[in-house]
Amino acid sequence: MKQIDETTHYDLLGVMPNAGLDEIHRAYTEVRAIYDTDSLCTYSLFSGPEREKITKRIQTAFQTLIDPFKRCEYDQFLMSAGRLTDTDREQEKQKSARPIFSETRSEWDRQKEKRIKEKLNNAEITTLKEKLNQQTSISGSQLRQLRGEAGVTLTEINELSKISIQILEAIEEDRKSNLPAPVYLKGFLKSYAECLCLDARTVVPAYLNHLEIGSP
Amino acid sequence: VGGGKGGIGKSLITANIATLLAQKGRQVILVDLDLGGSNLHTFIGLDNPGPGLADFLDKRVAKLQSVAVPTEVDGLTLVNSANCRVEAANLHTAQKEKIIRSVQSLTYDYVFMDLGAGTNFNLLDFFLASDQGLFVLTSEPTAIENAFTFIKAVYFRMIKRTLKQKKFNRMTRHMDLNANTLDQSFRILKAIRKQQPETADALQEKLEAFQFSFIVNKVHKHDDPYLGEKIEKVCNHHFYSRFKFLGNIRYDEKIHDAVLRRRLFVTRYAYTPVANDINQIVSCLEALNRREPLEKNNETD
Repeated sequence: MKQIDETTHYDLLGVMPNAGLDEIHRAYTEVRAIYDTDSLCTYSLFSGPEREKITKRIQTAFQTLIDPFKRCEYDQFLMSAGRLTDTDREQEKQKSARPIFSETRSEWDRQKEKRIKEKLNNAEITTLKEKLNQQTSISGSQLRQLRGEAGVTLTEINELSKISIQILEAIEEDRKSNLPAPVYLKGFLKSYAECLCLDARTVVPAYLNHLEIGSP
Repeated sequence: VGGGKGGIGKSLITANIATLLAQKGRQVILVDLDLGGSNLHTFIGLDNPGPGLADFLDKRVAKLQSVAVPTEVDGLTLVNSANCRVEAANLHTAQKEKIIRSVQSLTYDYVFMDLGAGTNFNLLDFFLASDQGLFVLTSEPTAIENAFTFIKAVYFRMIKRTLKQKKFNRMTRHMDLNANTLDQSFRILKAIRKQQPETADALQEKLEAFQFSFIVNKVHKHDDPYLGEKIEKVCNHHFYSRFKFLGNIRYDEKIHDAVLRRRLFVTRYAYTPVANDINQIVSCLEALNRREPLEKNNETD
């Protein structure tokens, strides 16, 4: 048997050193299928122990490459052996696919959030915020006032909270008929209050109280 | 075209590939070395082929070239073995070497040696005498199994023949060379490397120099079309020799019809999907030979 001890994990799975996770996953599934005991193309080529050895080797390769820490360690090992160069790896970050539904926000989103929070933590409006937090009834215009004094636009709130601008306007103008059903409205209000650095636990019931919607 | 199993289309594919190459203006010769089971002449529609390999072996003629008979295709000649004795399959070593020497001295663009089924020494040595070993398999497990048996047989024959040479004799005398798993071939090489690294390198080089190419024949509609690619990948991973998958040939009733009529498939059904498959394989084969210009272009069949 050639090389099975000598091949790199990348060669074994047939992927480039800069392959992304999904690519590695796909390659692993394919290679596993090829060396499966039922596989038409290899069942008669290998003896039992040989197959076991290869399968184990593939498992190790996969488990190393999908773990970022182990992979980094392995890359270091390959580089010290002169079998991998920095340029091979460099493209790694560019090439790896960006997940569609990322739990962590992108860098751009984080920076914007930071900017808005800075505006709202301005000392001049802290008193207004505290006042709103303690009220039992808050009108939309009061929310708008806070937003205006902080210098935050509706578009920024929309980008941060993903609430549509029409709904945000309806909230600020107390247009009860244009607001969504209470169960959704509560969610929107919570996000909006958080965007404005308010305490959602008191502000949401206070606003609903003001519009006389449901029971807090 | 070797390939352990019988009835997988070795001779048929040989005849048709050779015809297409001849039609492209190449000088092609077919040598029927399926001794004791020869029927290549029937595939290309020669009922009474006249002189053959038997005359050469029995020293009635001096040169292999003089028993080559022309066929209905321009540029394609055939050395048939229809008139060999019934026990022709059991060639003597001297006769075998005579054939190999004369085949290697033929001056044609392409020389195809059509081999029989099985893995006997004569057959393996003919296969190894070629510049490129072509083998055929089908997508049935039996054929794949025999194809691997065949590859391993060729591979171990290569190892053994190299190690049987005098300079290695002392070292390998105590070694168990009767291997049948790939693991063992690796172990042998490792053992040699420990004693004489340069010898191991030489052996490895020799193994690496040999080019296998293969065709998957009789591919049915519902078969895995990527079987060939997978086998190519696996073999290149686990053998030192190089493997090249040339292409699939799909299953077609018309092939049976062409054989029944004793006519060449690619001339009788030139514009069918199967003929197209064979055509693509021929281009693949030509590309493979262009890439590595060889002194002689012997193909084993």
